[in-house]
Order: sequence, then C-alpha cells, then structure tokens
Amino acid sequence: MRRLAALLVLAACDHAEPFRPPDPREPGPFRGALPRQLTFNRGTDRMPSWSSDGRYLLYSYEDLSRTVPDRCLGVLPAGGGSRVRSACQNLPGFADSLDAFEWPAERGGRVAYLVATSGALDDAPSRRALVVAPLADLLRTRRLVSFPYHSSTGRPHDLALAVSWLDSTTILYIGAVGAVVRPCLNCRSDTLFLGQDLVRLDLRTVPPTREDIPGTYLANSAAPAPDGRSVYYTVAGDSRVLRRDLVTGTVTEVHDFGLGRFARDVQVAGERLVAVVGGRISLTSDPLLGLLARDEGGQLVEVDLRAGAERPLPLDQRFYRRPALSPDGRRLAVEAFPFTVTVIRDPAGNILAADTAVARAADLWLLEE
Amino acid sequence: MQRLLWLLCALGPAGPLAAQSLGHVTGTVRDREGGAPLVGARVEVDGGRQVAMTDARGSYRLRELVPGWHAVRAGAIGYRAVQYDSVLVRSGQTTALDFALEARPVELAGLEIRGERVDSVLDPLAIADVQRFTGEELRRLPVTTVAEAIALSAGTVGESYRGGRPGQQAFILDGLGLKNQLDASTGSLGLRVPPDLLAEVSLITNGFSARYGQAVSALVNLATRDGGERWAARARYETDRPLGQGADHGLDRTVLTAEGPLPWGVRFVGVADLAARLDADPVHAPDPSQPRDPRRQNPSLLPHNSGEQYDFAAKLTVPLGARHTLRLLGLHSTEQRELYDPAWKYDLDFAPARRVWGRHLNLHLQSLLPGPGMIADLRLGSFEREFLQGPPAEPADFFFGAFTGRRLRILNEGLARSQDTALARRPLPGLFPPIPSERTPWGVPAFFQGGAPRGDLGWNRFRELRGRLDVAIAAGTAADLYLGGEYAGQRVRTFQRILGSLPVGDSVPAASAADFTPWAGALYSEVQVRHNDLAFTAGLRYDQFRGRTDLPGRTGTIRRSLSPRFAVSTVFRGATFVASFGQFRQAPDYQYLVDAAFDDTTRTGRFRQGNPDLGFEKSTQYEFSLRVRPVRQASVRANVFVKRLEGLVASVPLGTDPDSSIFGNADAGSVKGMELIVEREFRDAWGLRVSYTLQQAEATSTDAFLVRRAITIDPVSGDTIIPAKVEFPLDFDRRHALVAILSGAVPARFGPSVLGTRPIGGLEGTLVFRYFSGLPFSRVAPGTDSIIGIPNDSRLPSTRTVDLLVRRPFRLGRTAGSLYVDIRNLLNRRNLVAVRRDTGTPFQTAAGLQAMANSAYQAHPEAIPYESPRYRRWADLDGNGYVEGPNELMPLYLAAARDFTQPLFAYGPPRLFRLGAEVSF
Repeated sequence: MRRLAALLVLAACDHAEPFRPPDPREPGPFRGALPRQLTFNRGTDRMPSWSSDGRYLLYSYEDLSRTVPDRCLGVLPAGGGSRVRSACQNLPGFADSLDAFEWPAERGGRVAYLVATSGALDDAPSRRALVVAPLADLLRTRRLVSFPYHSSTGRPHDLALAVSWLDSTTILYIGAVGAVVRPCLNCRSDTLFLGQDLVRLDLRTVPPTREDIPGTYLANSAAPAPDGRSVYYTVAGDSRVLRRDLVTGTVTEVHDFGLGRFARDVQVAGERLVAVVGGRISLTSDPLLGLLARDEGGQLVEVDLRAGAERPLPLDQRFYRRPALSPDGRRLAVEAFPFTVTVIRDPAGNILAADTAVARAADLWLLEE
Repeated sequence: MQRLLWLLCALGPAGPLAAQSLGHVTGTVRDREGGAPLVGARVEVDGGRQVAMTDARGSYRLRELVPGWHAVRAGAIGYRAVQYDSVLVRSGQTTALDFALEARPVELAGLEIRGERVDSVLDPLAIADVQRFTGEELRRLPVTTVAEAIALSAGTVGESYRGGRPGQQAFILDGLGLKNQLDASTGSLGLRVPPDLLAEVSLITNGFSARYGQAVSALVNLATRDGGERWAARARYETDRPLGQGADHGLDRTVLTAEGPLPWGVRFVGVADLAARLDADPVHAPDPSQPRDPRRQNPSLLPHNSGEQYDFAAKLTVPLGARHTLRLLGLHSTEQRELYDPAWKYDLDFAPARRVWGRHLNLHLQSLLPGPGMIADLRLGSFEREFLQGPPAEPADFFFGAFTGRRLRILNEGLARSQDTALARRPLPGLFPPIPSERTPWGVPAFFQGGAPRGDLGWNRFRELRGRLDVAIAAGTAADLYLGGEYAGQRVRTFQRILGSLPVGDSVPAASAADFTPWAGALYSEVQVRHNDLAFTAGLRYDQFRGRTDLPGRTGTIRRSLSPRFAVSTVFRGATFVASFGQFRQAPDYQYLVDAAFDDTTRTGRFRQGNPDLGFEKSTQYEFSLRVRPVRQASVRANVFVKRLEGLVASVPLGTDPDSSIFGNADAGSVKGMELIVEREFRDAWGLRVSYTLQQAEATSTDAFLVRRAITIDPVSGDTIIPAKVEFPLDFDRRHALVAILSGAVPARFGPSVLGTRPIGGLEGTLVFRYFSGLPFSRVAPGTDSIIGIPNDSRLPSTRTVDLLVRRPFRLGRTAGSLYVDIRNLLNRRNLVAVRRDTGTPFQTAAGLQAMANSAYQAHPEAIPYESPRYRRWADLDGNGYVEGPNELMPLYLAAARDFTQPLFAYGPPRLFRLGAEVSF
C-alpha cells in the first residue's frame, strides 16, 4: 500500500515547464511625465485612434526597416510601451511597392482601415481600398470599398480620410481627392488631399451600401457624436465646427474659432471638443489641379461645449495634427511635428525675418486630463 | 514429388535460407528400454494443432511453428505418452526434442524440456545471421522500443544495416512482409509493435529466405505471441517526474496488457502502449553561454519539441478444428509531435509539427494439408500509413505531461488531402511570409523568424493489400521444400507544397501531387537438403513491380528480376561453417517516382524530377560465417561478408541545365565487414553478449538527393572525374562498433534483511556498454557549399554510452509487480554526433560569428525606437529611446548570431531516467 501511495504521489508531481520565450516588450512608457512621448520612430507616426474600450491606441507608422518604407498599422497600449500588434503589407509581390495602411478605426474587435498601394515607379499610391479586419488578425481583411469611384454628388473619391465607426455596422469617412505636387524640381513630391463629401457606409448589406451625405462638400475632418445619430465636422477654409443630424439633416454650428483660424481635425467626447486650429495651413487654387489644401499642423485647442470656452493645449515647439480623444474623453493622443523658428535680426537686434521649419516626421504624444 | 523437387532445384540453382519467421521442432521417438525407434508414433503440438508421424527411423519434424512456447506431446500405441509443455521455438531455428516412451499405457504430463540435441548455435540448418531478442530478454534490457533493441545488434547504425542506406530493410511481422514502400529511406514505418506483444524480435542481415523480398540489407523479424491460457493483466507506468529540473524531460509512459481465453478456444492478447515526452529528442548540448539567453533557466528541455505516441495492438488466435489455426492481428500507431526549429525558437507557435499514423491488419491461416508433412500458410494483410507535416493549426494543449489527448491538426491539411495543385498555386490560406522575429532577447531583425510559419506542407498516404501463400513440403526427413508467392496491390498519394505563403512562380515550384496504384508480385522456391551434418540450401525468388501509372499516356513500366540464393553449411570439429551467396532486390521508394522539392528552391539544385521508370535496387552478398561453442554455455560467432550495392537511387543531372536533375538508378557501392559475437546465455543468474563489428561502407552517394556530379579532385588543377568511379565513405560508415550486454540477477534470499524485506535480494539488472567509432562527414569551405577534398573525408570522434536497467520484483498480497529504474547514458557522457561542416566543430568560429553579425547589421542598420517590440532598454546605452548605431546594435547582432548557432543537435542524448512500476494481476 505504501508503494502504491508512493506511486500516486510520483504521478502527481508536475513536470518541469519547457522553455517559453519571455515577452521582451516594454510594458510601460519610456518616461512617465505628461505630456508623454508615445513613439520615437524616425519615420512618421500618424492617424492615432482609440480602440472602443480605450485600452489600445491604433495608429499608422512608417517602417524604415523595410526595403521600401511602408506604412504599417500599430497597436500601442493606452499608456504607452511597446507595440502589442502590428501589421504590414507582407503579401508576396509587394516587397518593392510602397504600401500604406492608414486611418485605422476599431469597434467591437473589428478594425476598418485604408489600404493603399503604389507601384515601384509610382509617385503616389495608385490603388486604394477600405477594408475591415479583426483586431486580432489585422491582415485577414475583407474589402469594403475600392477607390476611386464617382460619388452620387458627381465628385470623384480617390480615397477615404478620417475613418470612424458610427455604430457597430456603419462606417463614416470623408471621400477625398488626392494630388501629387512637387514644389520645386529637387523637392520631394507630396500628396495633398482635399475632402469632398462625408460618406456613410452600411455594412449590413453585401456589398456595403454607400451613402454620400449631401451638403458636406470640402469636409476635412469628421467625428461621430457618441450616440451615433449626428456627426461633428469641419470644412476646408472655415473656422467653425459644425454638427449635422444624420436623421434630419439639420446642420448647426457648434463652435467658431474666429476669423482666419481654420479649424480641422475635430474630436468630441462628452462635453469636450478638441480641434487643430491655425498654424501652417493653406487653401489655394491651382489652375491645373484645382483647390489644394496643405496642412503642416496647428495649435491644439480644447473647447468646453457647455461653456463654449477655449483652452489651448501645451504647444512646446510643436505643431499638432489629428488628435484622438479616448472614449472617456480623458486621454488625448496626437501627432506632433517639431518645428524650429529661425530669426534673422539686424545688428541692432531688430527682427528682419523669421522662418519656421516644420519637421516632416511626427511622433505621437499623449496628453491626459 | 521428386520431379517437382528436381524442377524447383533446377529453377533455383543457388540461394540460402529457410523461412525465418517460423521455427521447427525435430527429433526422434524411441523405446525407453531398448532404444529402438518407434515407427508411426504421433507427435502433436498444442493439443493437436499440428501433428507429425515418425518414419522408419523414429524421426519426426514439425514445421512452420510460430515462435514462442509450445506444448509438444508424443504418443504411440502401447506406450505412455509424454508431453513437454514448455518447448521454446525460435524463428528460423530448429529445436530438437527427443522422446523416450515407456511401454505402459499411462499418460504423463507437465515435464519441461531439458536438452536440445541440435544446438541452436551449431545447427548447420540455421544458415542466416540472426541476432535475436526474446520477449523475456526485451524485458530485461534497458530498451523501450523494438528499434532500440535492434540497434544493439552487430552491424547496425541507426536504421542502416551493414552499411546500407536507411530503408533498405523490410519488416516481417508474423510472416508477412511489411514496408513503407513510399518513403522508407526518409520516413518511418508508421507502426510500432509494443514490445509486450512480442515473442521475439530478430535482425537478419544475410541469408534471408527467398520467401522474403523488398530488402537489400536486412530483415527485421517480429513474431508476436499468442494470448495465454488464463486471464492475466499487467499495468506499467514510467516517468521522470520526480527528478526535477535537469533530469526531468517530461516523460510519461503507460503500458496496459491483457490476455486470456475466450469461448471456443479463442485466445486474446491486447496491448496499449502510450508514451509522451515534453522533449522528444533530448540533447546533451552545452548550456547557453549568454546570460540573457532565456534557455539558461532550463537548458535541458528544448521548447516545441514534444511528442506523443499511441500504440494499440490486439491479437486473436482461433483454432478451427484440429488442422487449422487462424490468427488475427491488428495494430494501430499514431505519433504526433512538434518539431523544434532553431529559426522559430522565439516564435514557437509557428514552428512545424508532424503527425504519422499507421494501421495494419494481419490474418494468418495455417493449415495442415492432407498430404504427409504438408503445411500451408495463407496470409492476408492490409497496411496503411499517413504522413503529414506542416505548421500546426493551433498550439499544443497538454493535459497530462506531454499528452494532449487530441489529434494534432495541421494548417491546410484538407487542401493537402484533396491534392488540389491548382488551388495550391496561390498562397495557401492563412499563411503569410514570415518576418524576422521580434521576440528574441536581442531584438534585432536577424537569423530568427516569426510572425508566420515557413509554409511548407507535405502529405502522403500509402496503402497496401497484401496476400501470400506459403507451402512447406517435407520430402522425407532429409529435405524440405518451400514454395510460395505473394501479391501486393498498393496505392500511393502524395502532395507537397513549399513556401506556401508565396504564389507559385519563378522562385517557388508548383505543388507536386501524385496518385497511382503500383503493384508488386513475387514467386519463390527454396529447398533445403541435409545429409548428416552437411546442409545445402538453394532458393530462387522472382520479383516484379509496376510503378507509376498516373502520368498521361503511361501504363507503367513493369520491372522484373530474379534473385538466386545459395548456402552450404557443415559442422567441422565442433564448429559450424556456413558459406552463403545471395542476391537481393527491392523496388525503389515510390517517392522517387514523384517530383520532389525541398528546402529553399531559390538555391541551385533543390528540385528533383521524379522518374517513373526507376528499376530495382540490388545487392549481392557473399558471406562466410563460423560458429563455435567453446564451452557449454557460451558461443562464438564470426561473420565475414562482402556486399555489393548497385542501382541505388541517386540524383542525376538532366541535360546541361545545372539546376535540373532527375532520380535514377545511378549509385553503386560496396560494404566489407566482419562481425564477432560472443555470447554466454543467461543461466545461473547471469549472461553476457559482446559483439564487435569492423566495417567499411563506400559508395558514390549517401542518399538519393545527392546529385551525382563530377567532383573536383584536385583543387589546384580542377581535375574532375565521374563520381560513379569514385566511392567514398557513406554517412553510415562506422568502422568499429562494440556492444556489450551484461545481465545478472541476485538470489531472492541474498543480502541483509531490513524491516522484513531484503532490498538487494531479487534484484535483476542489465548493463549495456556501447563504443562506436565516429561517422564520416564532409568539410566545406567557410561560407559556401563547396566540399573540400572528397566527400566524407573527415571523421567525428567516437561515442560511448552505458545504459542500465535495475528491476526489483515485489509482491503485494496476491499481486506481483516490480519497481525499476532505467537509465540511459548512465555516465552522462556528452557524445558528439554531428559538427558544422565549415568549422569541423559544433561551434561557429569567432570570425564566423562576427561576419554573420556584420552582414546582418549591414542589412538593417536602422535605429530601433522605443515603441518597437525590438527595443531593448538594456541595450539603449545612452537612454535616448533608441537602440542605434554600431555601439548599441552590433552587440545585439553578435549575441543573436551566437544564439542562432548554438549547436543543439550536434550532441547525443544526456542521462535519461525512467522510474517505473509494474503490477501484474
């Protein structure tokens, strides 16, 4: 009996655990103080957006380790740290093309984002599509919309901007046109986008049903209201933030930042509204290309929607673009472009000229209430 | 009958060998008083299952008996019958049993056989080189599988026998041939016979009977036992759990055996043998040298290397009247395991896995024909084997040790089974090109892969229905004639896709698939004639097979061959001398009839075109053997042999395209050797077997995938010659091998008594010592695949191991059992079994590591930002949020190179323990 008992004890022992590689990722931010730099990438980090549960921050980053510096999707912990997930165009045949995954937006474990691909000799992406994929497997995509197409308003849509979810089955985006410009012979070419119309995409049908929202020409940013029944948006060359009721079509002015202070990149959570105002932005008309909007960032301004009071957020030698408010409105992630101001003075110390140089690469920063 | 005998003798002018899967009993029946031979006495086996009558000289001969213990009874009118109830019959041997009957009509029973007139060692009728282990011996040895037991035989190197390639052997299971004809040279049989079911296992390296084919180097003969006469059961469990880290390799094994009688005289025996280990291939490699290497926490247990085996076997023995016996044997084996891949060391979910299963059903009807001394054996068998390898669909979920209890699923296995090569032109579903791993301790994008599996998918299925009829005819007491034939209808299906995440294109070959139904048939005759102590054996075997039939416009080429075998043996001054000559043929592995792509096809020559016209592979062997018994309990056997191998499959350049090659019967070689076996049978509580092998094996190719190209002989002049004329040492050319097996037992009453028991008394143990000289390998110029000098010009160091099994029987009331400890590599010697071909050692040189690191850094010199999963804070020396520049990045690349080149499988297994308990009911 003793031997039997010994046998039972022996069988009850656990085996040694085989080696499992430890998770080498950094669990927290590089530095704890706020505002906090979330990304340090030498390439550009753009288009932050929060997961619907507020645990993750999705964004698009330029991966300089690849043969062609593709733009990939990254998923960061809310407070900062190593990316917990990323997705780049790894499909065969795409190694020498510039591929971009942009404008991620998550809801219910699904991520909608824009996929853009350019050929090896192209200046800019030549094929674009809006896709949706599980957050757990960002490369298992389903195509929703292929670009370009002509909208019901008669305007072409070459791509989508400011993708977001109105509800679990409806996506909102800005149908936009893009133009490749090269300011000088030796300058890098740049792609400028101009929003055309707000578009609502109903995923309950196959293929998804597209609805162009009338009266939203030149919309350049959009943010759904928390109830999904209305949308906040801004228009190119306008200082106001508008709100459109998607059921009745009624448009109301929410806030006006004042003459000459062009507003864009609006975000709303609760009674807190954030937008980028002023800064380096221009809207010009090109004889060949038509209207062109160039935006190198501006000041980040917060508005208390109850009181209508504005409060500038810390500037600290940076221009900001595309802020993203967390669902609870307490956290704000934003693209930050460092700039330098070069001042030329005469011998007497008087300012003769000043030049502001904005960095092309942005990092993401986090501000918390 | 005489005409038939002459006809068959004329047909088969040469060839040794008797039926090695069965045994015989022969002797005389005499009057006890006067010694006169009794004519017409009846001698029967197992209650009349087989009967023989004595001739005018009182001689009888019982043929074709299944190996194992039998009851043999002799009776004559007016005499008291005598029965020996424990007569051991061994395959391929003749057991002598003489009877002396008393002239009284009273029956005696229950006597044990005491002597053998014909010494099994000196018996001139036993002409084959047979090295056997009985079921009892297997139990005493520190071995777990049949393969491990066979590996203790002289002339074996892994699954290479007498220098041949792996796959040149066939299995004979209860008299029926069994072979994985699809890919025996590179794959397993897929079936494992639980040792608890075996009456005997033996290795036959020459003189195998003309009744068996499909092999040119050896036969592995497995004889299962029948169920017992009363119900009994045995349960065994063994593990290394209590040994803790370092000696705990995650082993659990349980064996359940039950046997007994069923109604109508049917007997049953069934065995379930279940084993699993978290590290299926433990290696005794040095611990990782780098402090940050996470394997330093538990260096003895490789990750993603678990394996589990499930073996089930059942046998029914059904008497059909007095003259017929039906035996039904069923086997099912499944092996599934993870495969450790150094490149996926840190992304284990994407490392490959494999599942192999085999199924076999064996039906054997033995009949005594009405004619005098005629026995017929009809055997029917089915064998099916499936192989599947690729990325696992989900990570293993262990529930007890390494047991998952679930079928391992492989990604896209449905696609592989459907053999849809059109669909497989696209990237396989769920696969993406892997990326440099982000999970390494070093972070840098180099050497290690991750994010996705490699994408190779392989599947094949082999099915065979085989039938054979053997007839043994006694031509008097001095000659035996064996006739028979067999036919096997087969089906082969294969599918292979590599780099499955990429579409088929310039650098990715199309998926290959085949589905064809080859068949093989054979006829044989064999005669053995004895005159006093002189015996002649002659046999002739005719083989034919038809290979691939699924190609457009082809009906399949039928290949035919004749294989003569001849042996003469005699006894001279107490020694038995055997000279034998034999030609042996085997159909090539069917995998060589099909296109094969492997490894990285972007490199030259990694594709082989299948050849549907391949013919037989051949060997011709000459052997002289001498057997003596200097003292009663000891014997000495010496064998000297020369074996010529021809027509073995090799890769042949096809046309002038250097990247194109095809399989062909192009390889030739020769093996010369000598074996010396000294054996002291296990009696009086101890036994010893020592075998020494001296061998030289040379040929033009070691395996079928090596391209037979012109080889540079002189690196200065660049002179080349055709390699068919250059034979170099084969991979299995082990020159010296010494194996010693010492068994002993302590008397039950021996030793001091502690708390009423004698801990030392009753102990049984077996010690196995092995010394092997080193195997050859080829040196290559650093950084290239160019061989320096001729292939296999260098040698590994020798290896030595000591294994020990100690068992302590005990009784618990009416239950008997034992506790045992089985230790492999007792001295924990670190045996080197492979080296890097560029350095000649297991390790990369410092310069080589630096070159690897430099190259990787040049490919990826970019800074690693903080949010990247590749960022390592400890490597960010200036704390600026970037790992950047050579000062910070190069140490990481160097550490990664050092990690990646860790030599793991260059070493043999470490000391392995099995603590076991066994209970019999």
